[in-house]
Amino acid sequence: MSILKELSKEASRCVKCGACLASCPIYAETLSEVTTARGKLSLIESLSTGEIQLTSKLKDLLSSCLICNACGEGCPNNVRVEEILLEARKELVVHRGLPFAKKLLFLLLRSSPRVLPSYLKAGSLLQGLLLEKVPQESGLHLRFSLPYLDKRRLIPPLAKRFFLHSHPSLVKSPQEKRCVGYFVGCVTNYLFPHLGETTVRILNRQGTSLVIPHEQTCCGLIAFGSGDWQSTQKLALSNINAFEQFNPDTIITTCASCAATLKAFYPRLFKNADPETQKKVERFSNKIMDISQYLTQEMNFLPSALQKSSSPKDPLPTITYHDPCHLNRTLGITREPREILKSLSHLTYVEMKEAARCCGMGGLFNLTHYGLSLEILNHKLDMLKEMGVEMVATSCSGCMLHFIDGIHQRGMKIKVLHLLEVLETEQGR
Amino acid sequence: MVKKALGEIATIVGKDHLLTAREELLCYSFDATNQKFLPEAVAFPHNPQQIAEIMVLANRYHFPVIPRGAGSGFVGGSLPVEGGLVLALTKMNRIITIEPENLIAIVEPGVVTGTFQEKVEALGLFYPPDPASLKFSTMGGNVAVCAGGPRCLKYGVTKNYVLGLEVVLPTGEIINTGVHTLKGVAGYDLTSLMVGSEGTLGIITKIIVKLIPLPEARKTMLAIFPKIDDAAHTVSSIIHERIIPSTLEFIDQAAIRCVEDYLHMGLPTHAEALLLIEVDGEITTVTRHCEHIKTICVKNAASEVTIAQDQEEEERVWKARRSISPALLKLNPHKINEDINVPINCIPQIIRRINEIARRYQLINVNFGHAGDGNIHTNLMINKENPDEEKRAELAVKEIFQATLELGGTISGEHGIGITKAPYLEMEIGKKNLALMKQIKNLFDPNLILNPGKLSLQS
Repeated sequence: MSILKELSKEASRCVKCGACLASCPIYAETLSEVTTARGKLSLIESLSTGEIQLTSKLKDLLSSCLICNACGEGCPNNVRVEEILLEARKELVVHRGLPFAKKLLFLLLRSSPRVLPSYLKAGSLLQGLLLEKVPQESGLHLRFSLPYLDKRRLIPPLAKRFFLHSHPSLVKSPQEKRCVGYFVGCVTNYLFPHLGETTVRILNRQGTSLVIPHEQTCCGLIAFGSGDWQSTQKLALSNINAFEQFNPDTIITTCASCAATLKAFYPRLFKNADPETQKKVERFSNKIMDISQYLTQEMNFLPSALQKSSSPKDPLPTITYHDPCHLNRTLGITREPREILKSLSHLTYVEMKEAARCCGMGGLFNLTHYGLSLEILNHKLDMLKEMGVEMVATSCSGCMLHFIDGIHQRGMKIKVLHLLEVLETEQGR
Repeated sequence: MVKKALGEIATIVGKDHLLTAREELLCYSFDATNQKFLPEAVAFPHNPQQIAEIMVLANRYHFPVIPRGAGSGFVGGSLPVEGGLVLALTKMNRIITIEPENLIAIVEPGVVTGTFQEKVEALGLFYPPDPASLKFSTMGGNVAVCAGGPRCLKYGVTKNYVLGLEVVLPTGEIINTGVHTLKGVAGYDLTSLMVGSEGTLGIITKIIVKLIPLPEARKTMLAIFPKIDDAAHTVSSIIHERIIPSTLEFIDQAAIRCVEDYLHMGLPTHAEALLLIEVDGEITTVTRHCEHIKTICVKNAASEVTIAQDQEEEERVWKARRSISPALLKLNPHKINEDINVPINCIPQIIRRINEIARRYQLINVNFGHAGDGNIHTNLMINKENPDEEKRAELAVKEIFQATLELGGTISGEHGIGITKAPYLEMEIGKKNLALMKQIKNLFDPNLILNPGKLSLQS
């Protein structure tokens, strides 16, 4: 296990000072060292010396991490905790395999792009059997608990028509100035197709035509986060090939997690591949752009400049912004979404305290550690309550799902919106 | 030995609050010294009664009990050097009360110091002790080592704020020491004995602290000195002029170079020293003091003095200070970090002697720290893969301690003794004091089960 030795070497740069205790959202709940970065790093060191073995306990401990990288950001020695943990999870999968449920899920994900949609299509027709409608909510509850799925959870219904099924692969803007690719992502495709429609409308209106390859599939983040690099690589290549035939110079995303995966994680996945593949991946990754970046930098899009309303008599509704970890810490995008929100003339923007604190979703962490995931979210919800805001905007579908569920669990009345949906509320006025 | 008692401990704290798997124990085998000793079990008590019951068991089965806060100490005070049961106090983290009308607060030991400070500051009150670890270290840990920080010069250290304690004695009795009032002289000052006892005399379960009003304003300034003696003289001059800054930090040339190399923020690498000064108080006084200090700096040949005009500039200055630690690791992978303390006017002398010692042992060294109170963090940067270097560093540390004591200083200003400085304790306090400490220890802990192997208390 030479990779383990390498990881252990990087892990040993941790001097155990304890600074990661201050930034870890999980430690804030458990108050136990077994969930801290320095704890996990010490375990990786012990694993490489043979002091401990690849036990299921070790797997549990290494899996109780959101990969939010707050610890890495706050580390005085800049130890690359997130990279080490993701690589360690990969090693665990290589040597111990995946749990059955995950194996099945990733197998389904990496199957041909037609298989998953057809299963989900059937699901959308049959979801009434498993799930019941929640009164006054556009969501569903399970009729009974399933493995990984808590009965309390508010589950958004599968869309009647998936986004990719209902759009041609080229949507032309009447005033075409640019043409970019659109990576849709699973949540938009299967659960929130209206978000995709909003994206198309706003960009078309701005003179951007969209190329939407139908062969695109899941970005692979959940497989990557679980250590299944093989499946992720397969998904990555499917996506890269899907866009290659259209060869757009820019590919926009509307989900922070997809953006981080395509832009930051794909090159990591292929760092040991042949030079040609590496180049191909890099070319693709360099094209990825988050929608907020595209709008502010490429389109000079600041809505109020277009449509300035006179100073309002009534106080405007208030909105705040939650930084998705993948947008903020992975890609360093924090300014652009705020610029957009602040420029809106029909809302008052208020900055949230600890806006960059992880919401607790953490991809599949939310399934495997549902209770803890909600406890972590409660810090954010308390903050929203204290601020008394009416809306919270974000730009990650994972964060959105988690906020929607948590707000429902607590019976709160705050609206959760994607940044683009907020824009549409202005443009619709 | 703990094994026999595990069932009973689980009954006391609940089995969800007891760790016994090897993987979990490994996560409690270290602290900020980065040394490793595996405990036999870790328990998370929730109240003093549970701790008292555990102590009774510990005396019956003779297993060591090691109290632990955030495990951020630099001397190994919370390491289970003889195995045993680690008592992780992090879940006893309630702020019980903050009483603005009495200027006191009562907290449990697991409360994070920085969190507590935020809470009291929101009420316009102030709890000044500011160890660098304040964002994660705990009040209990801070009291156990009498933690200090840059603000010591003006506001003192932890012991100046502790009015009273609730303590579980090693034998299992729960006692209350001190007062809920700002003064009190009834009997021996057992509170003071407990503060800084490094978890060897009892387990602190409640802390009554004194609060003061939060200063109205604060300003940060940075002064650059081509010559280190001028910087030292500036420190003395400021204090001589009866201005007490809330912070007076010193960074030497080696540290400046490391930070500049690391941050590229335009620090002058030719300068021998840099002073980071913070003044707080009423806004008019702060402005006046800043100007006065600037004049003193200039008079003492500072090449540049900047007063931070806004938060951004302030942040820039502090970033330099905070970056020293990671920046140093570029010099060598390991650092031996000592926190000697000398009388303020001896700073130039001790720096010269440290540099001379390091040169003689062919070691890379960097000095920075709290010049205002004479507390110098002297760092020997070594590579432990080179055993000879480690040996040389050990000899150098001993000489540095000797030099410090000759100048009337102490071997530890704020980190404590723990295990790393235990061999040198007698050098400073002498045989008689150490014998007296051992007698006190025996009186409190006849079976020597609480945090054994620390402070040179074992004969």
